[in-house]
Amino acid sequence: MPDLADVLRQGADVTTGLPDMQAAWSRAVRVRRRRRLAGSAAAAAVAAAVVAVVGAVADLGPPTPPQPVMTPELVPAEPLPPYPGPLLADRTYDAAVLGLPYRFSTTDSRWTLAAREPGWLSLHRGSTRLNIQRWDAVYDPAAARPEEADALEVPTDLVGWLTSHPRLDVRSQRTVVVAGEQWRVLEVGVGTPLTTPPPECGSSPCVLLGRTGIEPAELLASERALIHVPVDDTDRTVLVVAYPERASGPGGAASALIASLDERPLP
Amino acid sequence: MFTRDTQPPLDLESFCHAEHPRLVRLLSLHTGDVETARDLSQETLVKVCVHWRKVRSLEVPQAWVTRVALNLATSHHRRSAVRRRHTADTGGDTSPTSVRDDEGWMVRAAVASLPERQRTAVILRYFEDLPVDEVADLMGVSPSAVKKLTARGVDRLRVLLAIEDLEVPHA
Repeated sequence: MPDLADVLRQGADVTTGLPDMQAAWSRAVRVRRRRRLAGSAAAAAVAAAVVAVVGAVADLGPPTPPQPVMTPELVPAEPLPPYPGPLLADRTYDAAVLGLPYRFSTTDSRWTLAAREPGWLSLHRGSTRLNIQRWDAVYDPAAARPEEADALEVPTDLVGWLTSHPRLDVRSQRTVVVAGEQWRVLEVGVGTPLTTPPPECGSSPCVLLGRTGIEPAELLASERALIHVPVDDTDRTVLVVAYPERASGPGGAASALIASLDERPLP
Repeated sequence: MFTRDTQPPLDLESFCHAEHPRLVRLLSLHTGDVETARDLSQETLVKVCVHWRKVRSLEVPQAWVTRVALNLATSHHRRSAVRRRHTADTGGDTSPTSVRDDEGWMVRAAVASLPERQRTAVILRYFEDLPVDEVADLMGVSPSAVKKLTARGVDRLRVLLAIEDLEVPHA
């Protein structure tokens, strides 16, 4: 009796040849350059638009009193290690090289540097992701399957945009002080994920929110996130802590790292 | 050592070399044409190169690669359908481009003639040997939909291949 798997294997018994890696890599480099240029142009347009806007971010909902945050003792900052790096040693690091005016400290030797790009720092600890990301653009919430063309200018009222995002489930919001600045923090989950998860999300249902260069800020349906949006800042630096939906919170290590953030003038 | 803009990283290169044969076989079933499968596999690997940092951090990067390859195959089918309609309208050459030079051709042609979702479900379930839940995840449908799609696909293959007693694994 013929077996379907055997029949399919017979159909797939073909000469596969070898991939042309040189051609694939060359094309990939061209694609990335093109996208980076497109991202820079969008960022310049967004920056110009933001500068032109007079007014503050709308403060939705009743504010809670700012929470005091411990300031770490100032120690000489280490330059960020190259990516991909090993576990970060417990030190204070400076993100100025990425154009981000922050220093941060790690204290439990379990954080890894998952990405470092201009305007984007990503730290992982187990299934917790902490991203500091200056968004160049946001993805159109109405797009069923966001592509490059569906990137929009970052709205002036980013908190309002997130709150009214049809695919997000905003559960709570409050105001906190991090690195001496006030930030509005939204606790969000994914309400309605994209029907067809884009490659950026692997095979997982997700929502694409903002973008830095070509790197999207995604939230998986299996995650919850604390999205921090600066209240008075206009450079659209967003701090996102994503953690498993089933967890009660991002955990003490993430809170400690956020608490360690120290804003420093860029050189 | 590699120069970032001229040479792919070594781990990327070995990943692509390992994935390429799997992709060509999967895509040759999906498209029914080996040359097209090789082209689409190459196209998939370009996307792997573009997104390598993200791909390498995934728990199961092969799932991402499979999804991209199937998306490309779907786009290819749509473009081919438009071309076929255009060729038929203009009375152009409609002869098949595939060379029927091996015994597997009948199987590839039969699988490739299945409706899109049945074809994908059958290939992922019985060629890639993925569990129903993973197929459902990759296709963005429910597990029960996967079972229906594979059942219909297999019924159709029995007819197309004239194998009434075709045995189905895990059935």
